[in-house]
Amino acid sequence: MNFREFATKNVYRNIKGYFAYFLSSSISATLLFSFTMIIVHPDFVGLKLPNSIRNALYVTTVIAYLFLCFFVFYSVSVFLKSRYKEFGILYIIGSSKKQIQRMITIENIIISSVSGVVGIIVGIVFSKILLAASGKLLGFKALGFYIPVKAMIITLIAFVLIGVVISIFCSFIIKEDMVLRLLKGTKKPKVEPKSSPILSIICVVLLTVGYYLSITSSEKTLAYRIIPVTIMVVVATYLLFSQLSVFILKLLKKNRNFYMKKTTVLWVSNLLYRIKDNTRMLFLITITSTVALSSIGSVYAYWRDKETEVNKISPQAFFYVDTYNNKTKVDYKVDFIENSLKNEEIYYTKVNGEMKFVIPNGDKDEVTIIKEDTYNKLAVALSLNTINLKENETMLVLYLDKNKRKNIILDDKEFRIVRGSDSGVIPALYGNVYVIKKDVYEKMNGGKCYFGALNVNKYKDTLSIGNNYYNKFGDDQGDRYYKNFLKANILENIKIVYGVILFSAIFIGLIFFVTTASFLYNKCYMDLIEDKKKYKQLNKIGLTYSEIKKVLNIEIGVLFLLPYIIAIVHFFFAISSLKCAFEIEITVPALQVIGIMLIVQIIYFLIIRKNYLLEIKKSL
Amino acid sequence: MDILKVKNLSKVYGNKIAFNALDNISFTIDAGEFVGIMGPSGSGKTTLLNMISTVDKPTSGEIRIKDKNPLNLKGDDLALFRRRELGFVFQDFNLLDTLTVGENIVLPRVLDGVPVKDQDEELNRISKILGIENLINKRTFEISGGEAQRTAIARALIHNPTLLLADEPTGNLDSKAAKNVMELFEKINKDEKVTTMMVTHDAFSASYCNRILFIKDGTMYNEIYKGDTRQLFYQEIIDVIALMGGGN
Repeated sequence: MNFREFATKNVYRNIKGYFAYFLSSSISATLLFSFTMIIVHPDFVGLKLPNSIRNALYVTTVIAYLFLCFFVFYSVSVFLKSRYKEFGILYIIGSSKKQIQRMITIENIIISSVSGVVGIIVGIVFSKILLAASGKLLGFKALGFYIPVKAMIITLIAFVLIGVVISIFCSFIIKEDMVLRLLKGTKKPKVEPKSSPILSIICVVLLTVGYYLSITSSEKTLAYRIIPVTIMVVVATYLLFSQLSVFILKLLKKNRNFYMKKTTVLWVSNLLYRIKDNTRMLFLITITSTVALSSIGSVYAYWRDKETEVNKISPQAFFYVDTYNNKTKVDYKVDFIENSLKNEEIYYTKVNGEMKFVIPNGDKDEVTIIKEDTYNKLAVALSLNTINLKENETMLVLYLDKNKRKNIILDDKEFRIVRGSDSGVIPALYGNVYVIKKDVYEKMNGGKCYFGALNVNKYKDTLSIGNNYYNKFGDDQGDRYYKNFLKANILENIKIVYGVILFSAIFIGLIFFVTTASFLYNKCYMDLIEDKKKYKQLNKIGLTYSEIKKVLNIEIGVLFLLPYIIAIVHFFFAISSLKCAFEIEITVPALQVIGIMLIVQIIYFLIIRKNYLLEIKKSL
Repeated sequence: MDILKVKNLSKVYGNKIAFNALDNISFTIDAGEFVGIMGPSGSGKTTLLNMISTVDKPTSGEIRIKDKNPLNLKGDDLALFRRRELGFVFQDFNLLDTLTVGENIVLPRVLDGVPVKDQDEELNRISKILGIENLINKRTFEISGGEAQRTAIARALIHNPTLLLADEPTGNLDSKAAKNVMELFEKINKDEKVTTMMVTHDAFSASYCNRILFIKDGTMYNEIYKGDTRQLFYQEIIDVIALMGGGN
């Protein structure tokens, strides 16, 4: 037997011990591979995406990769800790640091490369489903199945690299004198966790203030509140696990009628140490879960909101604008669309008209003004109520009616503002639109534009007409005075863009959840060894299995569900601030996200609990 | 010739409330001796062993093992020192359960890069001495406690250490296995001339030594030599323990 043989024997005769670590590596590899496979998919690469989105995707990939690295690193450190005794034996019989280093390097490189391969295989098996799902989410025809050679190479290289990097870092984890002392049994008993009432109060105050600020934030205040609120909540979360929880448990301990009753004494005293020992892990899980939930939740809410948004961007199926001098050009292009609609026998309404751009007295920004009869024509076509204004009145058409001004002076003439419908009649790009009487309009000075608007009932059917239009005229447009709005094509683009964001948010979220869940699994696996011994002894002095079950239910339940419940509460407040600030519908999407998350977590908890209890039962 | 020389060794734990685990201990062990260290719980005998086995460092004092000062060694030199000069036997055996009995025994030689042929020869020799030839291909969970301890002793001896250190080697064994293991220690001490230092609080196990040092509250309390028979020595040990008080 030489050293290499020894190292390999050590692995394959202890497969069970390596399994948890191997599993988490393989899951990471599968996730990385699947994600990369989509990102480098030829159909996806060929997709016309704005540069910002594509860059965002690359950043996302990098974040995902870093997080996976961190996660694999964490798993390996937990795994190595469980082997301290083994290292102690090796040290005491005289192995050098280099030899142990070499052994760990061999193991890690083997495990990470095998995980890479397993991840790729599992990834390919699931890729068909994943590709179909991503296609559906992204809003275009499913990406075709392909043999992702590039993704394979990236994943494999990434995981071999992880193996190497981890091996280098291992020497920081294993301290020779520490493992030796462990072996010689000079372990000190744990001191009772301490908590400070002041810090516990600070925790409650920070949470309350943070939550209050987030539900009361508006579009304006959100920008400068977001950072302090985030910091407050993050600090409060840390204090919650390190101080408040200990503080509460100690209060429970003080109430002797409660504490010294049946199994309470066991779970309270156990939890005291468990929460304190796992403060950092629970904190990390809570924060990552909150981040994942919030990003999925908000992107999902936006995604659901996109059709409303498209209706704002362009109320009509087709809207074409040019300066008044180019009136014939507008008519020519509108005629082309009109003819296409006729050919396809789609019923449509057509409105031509003009608008002027005026800077109100005392203001900096231009507003758009249109004639009353143009408004009425547009309103009829969109099935909105028509209006009848007085000479000195103007109707303001707004999407977000934030300012409450009563009067406006346009071109030295004062108007009283009437507020009517909040559905726009021209694209949102034109901002605040003031409707005024025809004769007043004619006298007004300002840049003049001419537009043609065509509306159909089912605008989604006009995608091909829009594409034909682009083929014939190209996507030639400039600023707001020279623009075209093809609603079906806008929707299609938004769908793709938001779909891509949604998809990556969900994917990153998935990575966060899967990895944090296996953090917990690893941690549990470590505790199990000690718990087995403990409950065996307690069983001997008369603790029944059903009582053990009761104690463990609470202990594992707190460990597994507490961080997620706190994350959900954080998420709830985070997304509420979005609702206040941007007025998008969030209740339904938020509840959907929370619901799915809770169901998955509870199922996961039940599975872990069952296995844990089974192991304990076997050892009794 | 001195194999182990301990001079004015002290160990203080804690900063605010200092606790003298060892207080100015000095003694020597000659080549071929079999020395027992006894003392009540908390007397400092484990601390002493930890320091001699290079696991822990003393606050002051000196340790020499065959003219080398292990306290001055660092990193790989310390590893090599352990690998070549010391052999360890623990109460709970500390065998690697991923390896077979034979593989556990030759592990120190594997670490030292000894050729397989030599490994086999050494394994053959040592397993015969300890009477475990037929266990070599078994895994650690297939053997009894006594057999596991004999395996651990074989592992501690395979490289002919200068000093064999044993920490309560019979602590986890039944009386029959304990007797068996102690007879082995006696045999290898006599036949193979292995210098041995053993920490124990079991008077029966201690009675196999040639000399016993008693420690109490971190200081040397007494020292007795084996006379004619083991039975008489056993009686003497019991007497010292009774005098010393504080349990075993």
